[in-house]
Amino acid sequence: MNWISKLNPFPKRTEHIHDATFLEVHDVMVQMNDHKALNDLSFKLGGGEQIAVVGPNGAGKSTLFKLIAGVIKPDRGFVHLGGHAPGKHICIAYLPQRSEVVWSFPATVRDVVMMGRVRRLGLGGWPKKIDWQKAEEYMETVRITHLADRQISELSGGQQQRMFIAQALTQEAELMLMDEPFSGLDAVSQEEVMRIIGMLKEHGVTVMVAMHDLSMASKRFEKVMLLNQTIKGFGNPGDVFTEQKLMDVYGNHLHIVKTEDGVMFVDDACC
Amino acid sequence: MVDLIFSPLEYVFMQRGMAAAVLVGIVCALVGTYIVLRGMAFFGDALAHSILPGIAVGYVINGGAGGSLFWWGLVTAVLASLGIGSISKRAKLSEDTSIGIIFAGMFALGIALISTVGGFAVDLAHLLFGNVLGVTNQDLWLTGGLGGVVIILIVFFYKEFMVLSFDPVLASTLRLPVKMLENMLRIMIAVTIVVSLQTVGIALMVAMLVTPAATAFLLTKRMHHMMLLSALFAVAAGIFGLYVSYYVGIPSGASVVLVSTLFFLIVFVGQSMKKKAS
Repeated sequence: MNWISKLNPFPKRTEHIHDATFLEVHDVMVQMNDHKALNDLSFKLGGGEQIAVVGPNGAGKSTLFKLIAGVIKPDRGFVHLGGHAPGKHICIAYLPQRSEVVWSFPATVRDVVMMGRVRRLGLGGWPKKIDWQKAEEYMETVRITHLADRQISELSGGQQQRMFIAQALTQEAELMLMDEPFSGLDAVSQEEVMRIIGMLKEHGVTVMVAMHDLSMASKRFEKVMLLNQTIKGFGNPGDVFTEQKLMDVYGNHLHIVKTEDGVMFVDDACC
Repeated sequence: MVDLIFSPLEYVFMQRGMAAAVLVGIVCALVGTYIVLRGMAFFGDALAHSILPGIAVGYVINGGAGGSLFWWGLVTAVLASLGIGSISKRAKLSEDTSIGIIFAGMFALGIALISTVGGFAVDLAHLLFGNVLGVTNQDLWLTGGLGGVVIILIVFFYKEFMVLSFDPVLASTLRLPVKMLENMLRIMIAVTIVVSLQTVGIALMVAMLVTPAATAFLLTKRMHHMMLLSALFAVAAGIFGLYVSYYVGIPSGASVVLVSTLFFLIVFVGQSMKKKAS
């Protein structure tokens, strides 16, 4: 009977359908208050791909991520992950913007990393040895083992970002949605986080990174998405970041400067 | 000195009062941890006030006979806690606005109902300010039983509530039963308020819920440490508070809350000085 499965608050984990596209977003519309946060949005992403999602503030990057994570539902269209709606999967991790986290929360780094495990422990279950081992292993992967017993506000921005990656790894996430992981980080920390994102490839993790830095997106990602309510460009950076498309999305604040190292993007809104 | 400690305990009402203060202190402190971490202090305060009409109706129907008021209060509290949640979700209003509207409306209804029943004046004061020394054995059993259930649920769902309090989006992507947990928490707060009513009363309830937890929050960096320390502060405030009440002759609810507030101030000042020094 269907109602029995509804009573069980922890339904069984959904396996991906073999051969199905890893991630498919089809003709999605999301209504927020009185305006359309996302509209006419469709794209596909293969397993293990890494993509940078760029667009101005209010372009709908966070909304898109929450939609893919299954936290909000589309008003039209669908999102499928491995052939199923995202709400059935526990393999999606949404890494929040650091500004949205309550850093004074009484938890150590190890506690927060272990939170990724909660769903697998089952209702009322406690972590076993293997779970603690996983947490230690992934803290090692992102090199925060020495910070394990610190309260989370004692970490630097880059370390906090790495902690969330460890949490997502502990969750055994196959898709990581990182909401502006580089904002507020200095260049060294950005590089460290970027290095770990690169490493996730070896783990077979699919990654979507929302970011503002077009130069970094074009240098470090093979695939980019230019977003402004709908997809304005999708593919390799050279094809997407053209003067015309950027003008369309950012207005004439943004200029492309060709240098010896390649292309630079200059935003005159900041100065 | 020893006599100062033991002589009040010769009275049965003081023994029962102590037991009630300790039990209520522990339950409030544990539930209070989530109230502080999730910023639900106003919700707790409002909920305590919202149960007044239920109790008034209980008086009209049962004539205030013993335990029946308790159940009237409980049903009203659970309904009000779920009601506040669903209205703030549906209306375009922010949650604190919805809470404010329901809370004042329910409280006014309670006062109106009570004023229609003669000879209620003394009891209204008890409801508002509590009377821990009037606790009966039956009250103690109810407090222990229902409070025990709340404590068991808090321990059993510890990690689920931790995730929900830390990051609701994480709770959602981990596919935890968020709605069920939210409602369970609201019901637990409702039950906690009703079992605590006799000890501190409606007006001071919010202090029992947030002050010990807030004091512990300043001193700890892990959630279960916060819970344990919060319970410790609450029990200490309950016991000291009753002695102060006995010797100084002030109402028990007020004196428990005053001691609890004193603990907070000491810790707060201590922490501030430590920060300045470092």
